[in-house]
Amino acid sequence: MNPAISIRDLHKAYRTGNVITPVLKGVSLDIAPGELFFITGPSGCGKTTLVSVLCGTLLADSGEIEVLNHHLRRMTESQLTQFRANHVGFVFQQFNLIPSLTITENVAIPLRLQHRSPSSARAAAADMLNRVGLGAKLNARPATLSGGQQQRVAIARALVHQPALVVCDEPTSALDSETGREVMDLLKPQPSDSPRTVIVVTHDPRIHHYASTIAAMEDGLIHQPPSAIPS
Amino acid sequence: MTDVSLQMLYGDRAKFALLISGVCFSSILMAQGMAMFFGILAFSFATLDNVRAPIWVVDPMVEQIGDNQPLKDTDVDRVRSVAEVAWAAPFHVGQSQARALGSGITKPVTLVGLDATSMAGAPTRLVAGSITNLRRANAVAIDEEVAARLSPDRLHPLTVGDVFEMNDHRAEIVAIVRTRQGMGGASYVFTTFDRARDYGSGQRKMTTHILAAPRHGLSSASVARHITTATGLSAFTEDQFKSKSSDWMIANSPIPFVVGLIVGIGFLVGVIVAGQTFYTFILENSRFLGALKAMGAGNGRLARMTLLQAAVVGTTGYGIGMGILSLFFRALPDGRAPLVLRWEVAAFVFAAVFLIVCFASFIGIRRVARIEPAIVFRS
Ligand SMILES: Nc1ncnc2c1ncn2[C@@H]1O[C@H](COP(=O)(O)OP(=O)(O)OP(=O)(O)O)[C@@H](O)[C@H]1O
Ligand SMILES: [Mg+2]
Repeated sequence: MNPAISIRDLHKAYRTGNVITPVLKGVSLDIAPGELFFITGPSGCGKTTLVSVLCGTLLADSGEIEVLNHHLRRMTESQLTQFRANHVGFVFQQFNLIPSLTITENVAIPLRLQHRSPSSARAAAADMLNRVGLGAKLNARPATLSGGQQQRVAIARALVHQPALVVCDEPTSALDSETGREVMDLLKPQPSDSPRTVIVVTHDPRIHHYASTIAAMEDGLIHQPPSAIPS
Repeated sequence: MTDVSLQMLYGDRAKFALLISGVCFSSILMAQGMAMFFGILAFSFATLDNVRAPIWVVDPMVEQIGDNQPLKDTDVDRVRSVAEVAWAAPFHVGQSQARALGSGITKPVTLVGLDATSMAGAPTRLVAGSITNLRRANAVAIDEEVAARLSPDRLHPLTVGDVFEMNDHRAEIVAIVRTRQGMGGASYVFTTFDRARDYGSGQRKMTTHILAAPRHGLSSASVARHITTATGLSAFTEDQFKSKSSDWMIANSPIPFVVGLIVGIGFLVGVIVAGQTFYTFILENSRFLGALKAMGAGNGRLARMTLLQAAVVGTTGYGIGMGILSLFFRALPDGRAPLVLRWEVAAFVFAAVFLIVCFASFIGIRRVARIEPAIVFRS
């Protein structure tokens, strides 16, 4: 089977004024479709940079990166925008829900960005919120919910358009362990769902047992081969 | 995504209110500045408002309505002899002092002398009495403001039948009229042309203007041209005289500069307050705009959302501002405040607000375009 994500010798450096900080120093990695792939490693080693590059929000400097059969480095900015709209779901550490919208409207956004009509987007969003257990709060604003509930809204938003790739940066670090487990239960690929590959950056050892693969990152490199853990 | 864009805007109540009030305040400043300009023009053209005639004939040296160059007594006949002219009448406007009999109160007035036969140029808004009675001996028609000013108690103004003096001549009120007061604050007193000589400063040549009308079926403009060619005097239609006078005011008075300053400050207030607030609004929403970008909203779509927000702010602020201003103007006593809200003012302010909106959204869109979608992963 073709890997969902294939990365070869990927380099990325940040430039601040005259200072150049190399962050990704030749990462190579394959991730199979349907994996729940964990990336761990010490702070500052480049995990966030790596997932930003592989979901198409950040451009790499050199190397090869193919995601869901798209060569990201050969795409224009608007093609990347389109790619993210169609294929990627996001779960951020800071939930980034728009405070002035209801949670249903927040969850509907990815569908609206795919030009679905407001009413059908809203219906699908409500459906999704039901599945994450927030069916009773469809018209609530994010600020009125607990952290765990907000992260469930964020997960609903990440999954509502059934993306083939979901990237999560520290999705549980702001949550207690019980809530963290609930969040992972929602994130892990379900047999009933459309197939998805989920990448989770985490420091949180409490959730390691959810992983199908854990890759350890250190100083801009992934230590291959990743340790395979049976799920 | 228009709903999302608008809810983001309304969601930040404080900033939305600040944006609206910035545009609103700026609209009010600009509109009232220009309304003041037209108001002052209206005051300077008070004679053209109070005396209606299709054609005004004046000395060729006259540049504007306030300029009273005396004409020769024979000029009226020369105008009458132009074939296209239906009628022509001598007309006098000048200054005088009105003195109340008992109290001795003295007020400056604008004195108008009308041709007694035709009564051409007689005031049209009658409050009390009768204009035709002007033909009686010592008869005058006075503006209600003059009636109030000459009385020791404003609440009990002079009325029809009361008597006062001008230039030591007895003047008996036969009519109270409503007119617009002139720039210097003097209100209008009407009498007949011949009696104006006694009431006024007693100059030899009394005709300051000749009022005329075109024969049936002819346009005032074409007949005015005929008069000019035939007599060598300047003849204008009402509108021509008004615009000639306002051109003169714009070129020669300090008013356009002062008004320009007010309008300019209003515009700057709009640009700065709206531009800066909008920029902060975008800045504070960077996280969410970044999240939208990450989720697949392109720069074009976000730019349209920003433009919509700016347009809503602009039209709401403009609407509220003009609404407040017109309510305020409506509450003012009719014709006494130098403020005229014309549709041109509303249109100009709308255009200025449009520019402000363009500027604010330009700033906003530039800022939005610089947001990196990857920032959403940063805490
Ligand atoms: N926009 C940026 N400009 C300059 N340097 C950056 C930028 N973003 C990250 N860096 C630097 O790159 C390095 C890697 O950052 P990154 O966020 O990828 O690490 P991380 O593994 O996600 O760390 P953490 O576990 O703390 O989130 C760090 O040294 C960081 O300071
Ligand atoms: Mg990180």
